[in-house]
Amino acid sequence: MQGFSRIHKYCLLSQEDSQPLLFFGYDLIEVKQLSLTDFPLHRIVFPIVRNRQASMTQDIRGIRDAIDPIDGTISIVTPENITFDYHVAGPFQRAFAFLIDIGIRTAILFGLYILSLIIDYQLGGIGHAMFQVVQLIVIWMYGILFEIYMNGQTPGKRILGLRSVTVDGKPMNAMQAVLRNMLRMADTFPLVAPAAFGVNWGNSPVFQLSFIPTFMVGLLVMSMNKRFQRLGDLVAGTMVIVDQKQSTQGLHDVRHPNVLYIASLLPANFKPDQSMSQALAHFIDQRNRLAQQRRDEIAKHLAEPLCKQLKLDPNINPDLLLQALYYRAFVSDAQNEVPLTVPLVASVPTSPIGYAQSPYPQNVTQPQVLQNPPRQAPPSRPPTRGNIL
Amino acid sequence: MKVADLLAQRQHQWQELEELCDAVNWKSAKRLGAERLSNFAALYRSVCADLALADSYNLPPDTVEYLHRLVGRAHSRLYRTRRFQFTAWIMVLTFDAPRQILLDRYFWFMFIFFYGTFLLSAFLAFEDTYFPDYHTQIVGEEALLSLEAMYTNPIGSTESGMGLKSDMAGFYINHNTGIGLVCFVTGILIIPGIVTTLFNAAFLGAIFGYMARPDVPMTDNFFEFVTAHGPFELTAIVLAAAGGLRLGLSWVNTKGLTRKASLQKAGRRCIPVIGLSILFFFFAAIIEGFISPSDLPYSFKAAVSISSALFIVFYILVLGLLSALGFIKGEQYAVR
Repeated sequence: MQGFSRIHKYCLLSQEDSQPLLFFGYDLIEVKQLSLTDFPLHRIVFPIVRNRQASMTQDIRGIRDAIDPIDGTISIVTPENITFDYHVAGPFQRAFAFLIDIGIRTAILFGLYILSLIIDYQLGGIGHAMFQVVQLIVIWMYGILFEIYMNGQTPGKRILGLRSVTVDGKPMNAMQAVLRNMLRMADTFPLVAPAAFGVNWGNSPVFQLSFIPTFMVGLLVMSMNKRFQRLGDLVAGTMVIVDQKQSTQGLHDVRHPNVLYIASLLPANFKPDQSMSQALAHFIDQRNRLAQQRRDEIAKHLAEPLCKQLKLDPNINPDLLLQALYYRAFVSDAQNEVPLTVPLVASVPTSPIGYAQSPYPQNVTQPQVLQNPPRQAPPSRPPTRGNIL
Repeated sequence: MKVADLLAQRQHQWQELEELCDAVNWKSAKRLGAERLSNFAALYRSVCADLALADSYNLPPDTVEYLHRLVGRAHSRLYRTRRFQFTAWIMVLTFDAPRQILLDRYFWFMFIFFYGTFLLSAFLAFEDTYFPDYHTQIVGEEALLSLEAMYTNPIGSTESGMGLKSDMAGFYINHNTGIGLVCFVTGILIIPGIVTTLFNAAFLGAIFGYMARPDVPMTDNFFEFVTAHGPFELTAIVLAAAGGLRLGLSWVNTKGLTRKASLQKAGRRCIPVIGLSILFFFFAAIIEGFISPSDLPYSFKAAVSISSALFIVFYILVLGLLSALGFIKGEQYAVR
């Protein structure tokens, strides 16, 4: 849903500062007074509202704040003097990684237990005692050793694409790995006895003992800081980041004949500036998920003032106009826009579908003008994810 | 240059770095070969440059996001966790940790608090004329009964009593380690920590005192079982509680730091205490697993107990004093 929030933001921020900002029913001024950036639970409650004050001060300082309260990213400056963003992993991503780790650990322990039974059977007595000791080692050293030798990842974290690093984005050292894994116990509190859930078969004392972790301390501490650090992370100075690849990149293919025609109507010297082209790209990224009416509704905010400014026909479909602007901003120069005959990019090494295999007709001699866009049939488009440059 | 052309020009480099990232993650880096590996750094730098120029190139946000991810992935593969430095850790454990523990007032507070309560409680439970019901009030009827059932049969025999014990041993070890952990973790919240430590000291003291009574039949079995691993286990609980107390007081009395910084500083300071506590729990577990339930003579178990107590005294007092007075130094082996 980032797409239309950026479009709105673009429109809102380009208006007067004093104007009250109403956005999805939440008053931004009010949000600012609550200073929700101090308490990131608002990511759950208000997933879209961006703290305007924060973004303004960032603009003034000319640098981005270390932590983006909305997208949950954190900026890292590398030794190459590059600033890039990591996504901070939330509690539920981490919970699944932890569950996988628990599963693997249990499987290891089960295998060792079977081994100890075999040793018991062969040698008598000693297997069980060995198992007790090895069990402690496995339980305590699992996280520590894996995080040291797999560069901040346990098997669960690797499967889910998470990694623990220091708060400044560097790799952890062994001390930090020891500390954060030792303190995991503190985050599991309070422990609950199975008897509390009514599980009490045969009145065994086992069910009276509290050993089921609830992770309430960890969850509470995580919700109270911006990096989603649990207690162990806070003490060790580490955080868990998302270390996955992103599948989509590049440009979307917007070269529908109607779009090309509208692009040719734009003044030759008009070029969307940077913030507008960013907003346009967000819109194009998201528009495939939206129905045609919704696309028009969102696009209208930008299309209407632009039509006035550029003295275009006000009946032009706003969605098509924004696509044409996107085309102008990213793909083409004004000179070779009408009518397009040659593919812009002959061959694209990374993507099987490039412009060369575009499903649209290449030679458009008589583009039809859409005064009123056809409601019933939006032009059938290939899925965006496959169709990138 | 138009964005479309730029992307077409750059994308194959990004793709190559992406593939290298995958390869480095799953394969050993050595198997990739020097040529590809040296290519990694060059590709990483060029992608960094692309990201730095993303704004002036006016790349679409999707691509910028992709570059952020790619640089992040490459960064976390290029800069790696340092390996566990065994020498440095052993040096710290031998020279620095005893001094820190010797000079740790939290440790001495908890030491006196725990053993004081333990001895007082043991005396109260042992004394059956003035406080006849003390042990049942502290330990509880059911726990006492199960304890008595556990220690009815002699240690080391294959009779039902210790057979059951052997099955449950792993569980009890975890439980004992759990006691130490609970003392540590609740220590972060100060008052619950002190209450937990108090309760555990009183509970264990009451059991010891009750079992020491001359009229209790299973005395011999009990002491035969607990003697060997007792010193390590009780000291480990004290150490864990001391670490917890340090963490707890650190965020109350911050000494001018922010609460988080103070907590982090205390976390670094309590590493020797907690590390030693885990080590002692581990020693105790080994003894409890191999020596305590065995049919070795009691004199051997007592010797183990005495030597482990002497080891603790030597470690904390002798090594600590030598280190504190500057006779031995471990600072050159800084753990990083």
